[in-house]
Amino acid sequence: MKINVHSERYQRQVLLPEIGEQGQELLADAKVLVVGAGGLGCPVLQYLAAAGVGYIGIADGDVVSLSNLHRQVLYSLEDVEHLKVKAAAKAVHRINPEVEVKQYPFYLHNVLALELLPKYDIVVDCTDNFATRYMLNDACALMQKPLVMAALTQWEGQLAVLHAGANGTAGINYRDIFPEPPGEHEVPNCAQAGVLGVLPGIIGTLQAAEVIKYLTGVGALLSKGMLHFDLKTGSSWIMEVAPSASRTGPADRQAFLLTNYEWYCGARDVAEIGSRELPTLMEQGAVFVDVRELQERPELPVPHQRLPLSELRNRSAQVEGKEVVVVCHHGIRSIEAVRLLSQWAPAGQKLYSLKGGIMALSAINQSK
Amino acid sequence: MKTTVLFFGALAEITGKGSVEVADCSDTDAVQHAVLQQFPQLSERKYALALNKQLLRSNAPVQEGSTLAFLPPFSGG
Repeated sequence: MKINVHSERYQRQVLLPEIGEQGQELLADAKVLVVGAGGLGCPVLQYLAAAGVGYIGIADGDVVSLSNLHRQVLYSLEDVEHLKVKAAAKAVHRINPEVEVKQYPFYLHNVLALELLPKYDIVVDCTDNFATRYMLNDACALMQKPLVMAALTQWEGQLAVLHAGANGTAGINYRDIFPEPPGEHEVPNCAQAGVLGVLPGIIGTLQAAEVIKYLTGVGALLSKGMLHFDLKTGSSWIMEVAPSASRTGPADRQAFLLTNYEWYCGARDVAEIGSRELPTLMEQGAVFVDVRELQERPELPVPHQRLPLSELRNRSAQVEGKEVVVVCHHGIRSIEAVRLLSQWAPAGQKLYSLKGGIMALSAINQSK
Repeated sequence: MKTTVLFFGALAEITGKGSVEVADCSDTDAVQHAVLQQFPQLSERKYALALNKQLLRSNAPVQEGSTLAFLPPFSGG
């Protein structure tokens, strides 16, 4: 069913000189993908449906639970234990039966993202975990797809319109602000830290507003920085972000598809080995990788390859071998290098950072 | 010379306050160092720094009245 832009339903919105019938047509023709139908997703879906966005995709593999209802306002008691996408689609049709809804009852992963994103004009990040957030950011960066991201903690929210620079430029990337994901358990989610139901209502509504602004070309998007909102003080604060020259993240589709985001974003931590375990690993034929810059000396006293960290930050690389020992001078840069290499590692490969760096390695060789 | 330091999200939980003042620092590295000395637990966290509401990527001088914010990534949705 096509949206009837002349309907009385949209009259107050069409009255706005910046929107008009032309703007309403733009909304009717638009396709928006909402990833995550939780606290943020609910207000996004509610307002986009009410505003007359013609086609909305909803991706979420979760079911509604009782502890969702204080903030996920599209759902009611009868939806508990039912798929969120199903309940959300039902709610959207209750609000506006003219909106076409496509349900994706699963968690989005990288292969699917590459398949789905080209079908949409803009993507809304309403996810509640770093794995999907980084994946979605990287996918949208590769495909130059605008992404309205938001994230919450307790009383505060963040929001930015990514990959939507002026005049078709790349715009800002989530990794410009947070180049690498935090470690597991470092950042609590809503289930662990709690959240006031109103907060996703406010931030999600702002996301919906940015989507409508983007689709109709009205106003200035929040695309040059990140908004921080504090519910306790009612204050908002915008940090300006200049796109970074040296950006992390997969350089191309292949590197993107090879990235295991679950693992990369916390379901692991860097394994460090000390000089005690080293002889065993060497006997097993471990491959050594030196990630110091090319001019740094002394040369490692074992066969090795050189992959400077500065290069790894800019392009993907894969090391052959079942066991790989990453070495730098002191064992600090090698931790970052293992994190980076782990994104592109072949299945079953074990990456280790050598504690103490080349100093530890030299000590072993001398004691032989 | 005083620099105001702001903490957002879970970082404010660690420091126990939303902001502190740091005295006699001429650049952002020095401010960050002073803050980490006072709150060593912050060094285990990932955060972005913003000087006067601009994302900071390298050391920069601070002036009287400058504000340095510590922003962690948020996870919830």
